[in-house]
Amino acid sequence: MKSVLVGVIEPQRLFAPYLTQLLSGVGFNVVASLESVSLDVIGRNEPDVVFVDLDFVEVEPITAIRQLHGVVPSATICAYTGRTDEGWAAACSGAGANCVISKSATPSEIISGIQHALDVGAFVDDRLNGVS
Amino acid sequence: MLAAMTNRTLIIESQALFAKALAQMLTLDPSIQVVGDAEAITDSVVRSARPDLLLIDIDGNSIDLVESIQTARAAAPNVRVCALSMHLQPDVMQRCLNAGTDGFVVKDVTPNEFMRAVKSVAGGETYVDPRIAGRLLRRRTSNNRYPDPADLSAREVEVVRLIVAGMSNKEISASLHLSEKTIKNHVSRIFTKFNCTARTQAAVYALRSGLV
Repeated sequence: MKSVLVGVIEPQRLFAPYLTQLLSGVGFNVVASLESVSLDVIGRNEPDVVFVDLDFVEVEPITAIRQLHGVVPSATICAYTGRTDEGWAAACSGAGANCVISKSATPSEIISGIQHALDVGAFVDDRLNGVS
Repeated sequence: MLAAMTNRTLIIESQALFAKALAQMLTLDPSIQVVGDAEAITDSVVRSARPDLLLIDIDGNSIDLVESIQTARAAAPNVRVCALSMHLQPDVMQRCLNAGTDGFVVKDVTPNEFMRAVKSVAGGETYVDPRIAGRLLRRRTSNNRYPDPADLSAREVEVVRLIVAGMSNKEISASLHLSEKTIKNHVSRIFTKFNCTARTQAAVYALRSGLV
């Protein structure tokens, strides 16, 4: 069975190794762990999933999603966000994130959210759905 | 033989995943005992955990730091407090120190540096990120004729930067994905803090105080 290739964009250097460890621990193959939205690296690695911490990316978050979606259109773009303001999850989805996960999610909820998006094509965390 | 002293550490982290990450890092050191994690500081959380050290991630957290630290010290008067942030900015560090934290660590440090910082604070020392400490000292020694940008919240800083960029409230609202009413409230608070009545004045203050 083909392993799922994942690109991680986590600017918080202190936490990035833990995120990689979490994803690798359930069998995902983390092919890139980046501190910034490096489109060339993401494009080169052609991941099935791009997991991006939207709260700390250096570019405007919606733009980041659009750019990532443009570079790897068939990948599941997983937006990891602490924002809960009205319409935010919908804006992320509209820009091309087919998986939107709240930062209140536990590690197992994160994994199941990504898996759900891979299985059915989309996932929006219930905590964010309520306010979108 | 005396038992080795351990620091009871309580993690305040709104991101569940990162609370686990911090706990995992901290527990590698035998002098640290993680006694729990919570999304916010409350009297009951502090009283039940009885921490020696509070580690607070201030990013993406809507907590009032001053009030939170007051609450923590009312319940645990000797507790040491270390703030953790992604922002390598003197203003953010200054806000934390003003609020009563004993340490300020930026989240781009290595796990080793992070542990060194945490242990310094737990041991009674003050730790501030050396990259921004110098900038802060330089600012303090110069005459500051303008309002202190450290008084602004992170969101207000974002808004004032977009004001400087010439955006209207409507444009800022679209850019930050917030309602126009919310932006108006932010602008109003910025005016109050900058003691001004016009966007141009606010923009000038922001530029001259080094905020932008």
